[in-house]
Amino acid sequence: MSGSREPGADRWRALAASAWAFRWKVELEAEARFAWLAGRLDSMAEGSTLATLARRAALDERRHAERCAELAAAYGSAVSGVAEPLVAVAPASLEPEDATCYELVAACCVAETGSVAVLTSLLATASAPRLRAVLHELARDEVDHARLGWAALARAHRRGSTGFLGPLLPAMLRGSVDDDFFLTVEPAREDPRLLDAGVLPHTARRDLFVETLTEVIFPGLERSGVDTAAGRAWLAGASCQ
Amino acid sequence: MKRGTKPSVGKLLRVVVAGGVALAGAAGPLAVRAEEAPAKSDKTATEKGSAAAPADASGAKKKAAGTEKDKKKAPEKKGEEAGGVKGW
Repeated sequence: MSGSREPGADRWRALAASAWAFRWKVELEAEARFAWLAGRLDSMAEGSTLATLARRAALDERRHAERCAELAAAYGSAVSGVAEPLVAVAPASLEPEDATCYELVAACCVAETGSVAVLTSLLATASAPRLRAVLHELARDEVDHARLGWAALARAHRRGSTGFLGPLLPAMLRGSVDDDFFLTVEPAREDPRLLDAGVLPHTARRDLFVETLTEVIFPGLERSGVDTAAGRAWLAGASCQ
Repeated sequence: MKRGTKPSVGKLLRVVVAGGVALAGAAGPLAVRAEEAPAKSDKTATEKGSAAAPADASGAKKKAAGTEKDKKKAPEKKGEEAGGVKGW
């Protein structure tokens, strides 16, 4: 997908392959999480519509994983296998309904909404037809996956049970990014040519994450009765690293 | 990031949030799904967008059964600590 004689081309390809391989893993994990959440939603009052969406999301994610594997292979990294065992991200102390809400907020309101932002940004610059097709296919689905979380949160708000999320936001957000997310990284990871491979350079990705949190996710959470003060404080502290 | 990219991302995301909130109300999921069409200049996705909703509606239960059968496995507990989900 790119000339291998350009300076730094090997590193560029390796980073692109690594990013798509990571996304493959993320999508497989998402498939398992949505399938599990569908079962949880089935057992909740008014949960059947959301359960249907979660099941469809699980199927979407399996297809997404195939697309990511295809692109990882195109950049030189063959991926295969199955997802690692699913790990619950909700604290074990939460009641089942709150735990389900936490999982949906972490997976959909934060991760999937953030993914929509990344995909939309990438679509603004990607030019290779196959890459554009994959990005567009995934973006369209991820919009629905994000909405599932916002819908679940709005329903929880109607029950008056979203207040518990506020103090947990720092851990939820910290767990959504890599340890070096707010640090300076090697220059190769800032290479704008990564955009040609469907990968945001590190700083651009971080800036987009901050913007998405500040302008969309935090206001969305507040609209559903979640106090975001702790989450905003975490972001301010993390951004100062 | 190209100049001019950010507003469209923010606008789309606000629609995503609003759509989710609407979905929590009376609106049916398929109606909401169809409402937010992808960029119309993309032929592949536009074709998919116009064709996928009815097929999804009729096949949702059948697909769901297969998924649940394969995957309805409870996650391993991580402990008392809250965590997050990584995305793109």
